[in-house]
Amino acid sequence: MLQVRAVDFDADKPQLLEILQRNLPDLPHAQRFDWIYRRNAAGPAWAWFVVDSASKKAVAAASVFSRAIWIDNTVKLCGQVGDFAVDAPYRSLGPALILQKATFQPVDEGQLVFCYDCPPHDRGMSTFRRLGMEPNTEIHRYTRLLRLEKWLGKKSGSSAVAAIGGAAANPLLRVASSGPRSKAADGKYELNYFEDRFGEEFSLLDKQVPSTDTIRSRRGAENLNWRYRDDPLHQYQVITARRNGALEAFIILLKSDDEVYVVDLFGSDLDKSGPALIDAAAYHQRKQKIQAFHAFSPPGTPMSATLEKAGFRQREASARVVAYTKPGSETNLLLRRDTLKWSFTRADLMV
Amino acid sequence: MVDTQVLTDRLKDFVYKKFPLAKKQGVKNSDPLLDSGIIDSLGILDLVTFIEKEFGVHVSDEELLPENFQTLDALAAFIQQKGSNGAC
Repeated sequence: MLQVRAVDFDADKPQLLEILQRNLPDLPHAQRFDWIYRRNAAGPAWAWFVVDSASKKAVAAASVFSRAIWIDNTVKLCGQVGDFAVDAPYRSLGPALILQKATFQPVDEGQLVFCYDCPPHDRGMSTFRRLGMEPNTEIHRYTRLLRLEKWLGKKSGSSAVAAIGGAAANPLLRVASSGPRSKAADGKYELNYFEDRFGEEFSLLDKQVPSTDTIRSRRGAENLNWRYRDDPLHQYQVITARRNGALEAFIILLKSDDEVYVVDLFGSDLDKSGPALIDAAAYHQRKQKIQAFHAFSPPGTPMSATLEKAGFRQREASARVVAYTKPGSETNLLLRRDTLKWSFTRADLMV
Repeated sequence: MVDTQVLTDRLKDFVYKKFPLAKKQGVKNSDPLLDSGIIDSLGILDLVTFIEKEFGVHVSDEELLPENFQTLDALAAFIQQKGSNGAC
C-alpha cells in the first residue's frame, strides 16, 4: 500500500536528502538544501513523500519551489515542480501520478496561482499524458558559435583539422558576428561587469518593464540575490547595460567547461540592449576560448527575436512547460489566452 | 478467461516488440521489468494501452502499482484478476 504525505523539512530532511541523492545523484543535495527549500526569497518550498506502508520507507518524493512571477502586469506566486525522484522498483507510473497530483495541492488550496513542470524529454511527459495535460509551451535551445574548433572537430572527426580550420575561420566568425549588432546597439550603452549584490535599481527595472500578455519571472533585487548571489553551487557573471548611469538591462551568464549559458537576459528595449549585452559578453568570452553561447526561450517571442538578432540560431526543443491551474480560476482562463507569451529563460527551468 | 500461459506469451510478445532492451537481454516471466530499466514510465503507458485494448480491461490510476507491473507473471496475474471481475 502506498500513501502520500507532506514532508516536514526538519524531521524528514535526512530521508529527503537520501532519496534525492539516490535518484538524482548529479546534484549535491545537502549543499543546496537550505538555500532552495528554506531561504527562497519567494517563500519556502513544499515537498511530498510516497511511503510504502509495508516498509514504512519513502520510495518517491517531489517538491514545488515558490516562484514570484509577473502575469499580465500583476505579481503573483506560482510554483515550479522539481526534485522529482522515484526509486526504480516503484517506476510503475502510479507513484509518480500520486506525487504529480500532490504538487497540485498548493494551487487547489489557492496558495499558488499555478504550478509548472519542465519535462526535458518525452519520458517526463508520462504522468501528464495520463492526466490528459498538454504542454503550454516549448522551450528551445538557441546557440551562437564563438569559435569553430569544437564544431569543426565534430564535423571532421579530427582535432588537428579542427585546430587548423578553426584558426582560419575564427576571425571570419568575429567579423560575421560584429557589424550589424554593434550598429543595433548604437554604441550608447555603458556595459560593465556587475559584481555587487543586486539593489533597488534592479527592482525598479523589474517594475518598469511591462508584462502585458506575458508570463515572466519577477526580477526584484531579493529574487536576483537569492538566485544568483546566494546559490551555493554556481558562480554567475552579470553584465549591466546603462544609459547615463541608469540601469536599462542585464545579462546573467553561467560558464560550463568551454561553453557559456545565458541564464537570463532582461531589460527595457531588449531588441537593442539584448544584442549589445550579448556582443559584450561574446567579446570577453571569446578571449577565454569559450566555444559557444547557449540560451533558452520559447520560439516566436520577443526574447527569441532578440536572440536571433544577436546571432543565435534556433536548435532543438529542450523542455516543455506544463502548467496546472485550478479549473475555472482566473489564471486558468488567462493561460488559455492565445496571445499570452511565456517569456521564460534558462533561469525558469533551473531548480 | 484467457489461459495464463497464453496471456503471458502475448504480453511477452508485446514487450519484445516495443522495448528494445527486453529483446536484447531476453526476459523471463519472473524478471523485474521496472528496476532493470526495461520498461520506464512512458513504457508503462504503452503497456496499459495494450492491455486495455487487447484484454478489454480498464486500468485505473490507483492500479498502476509496482506489484501489478513488476514482472510478466505479476502483469498476467493482475489481468487475470481483472478478468475474473468481468473482463477478458
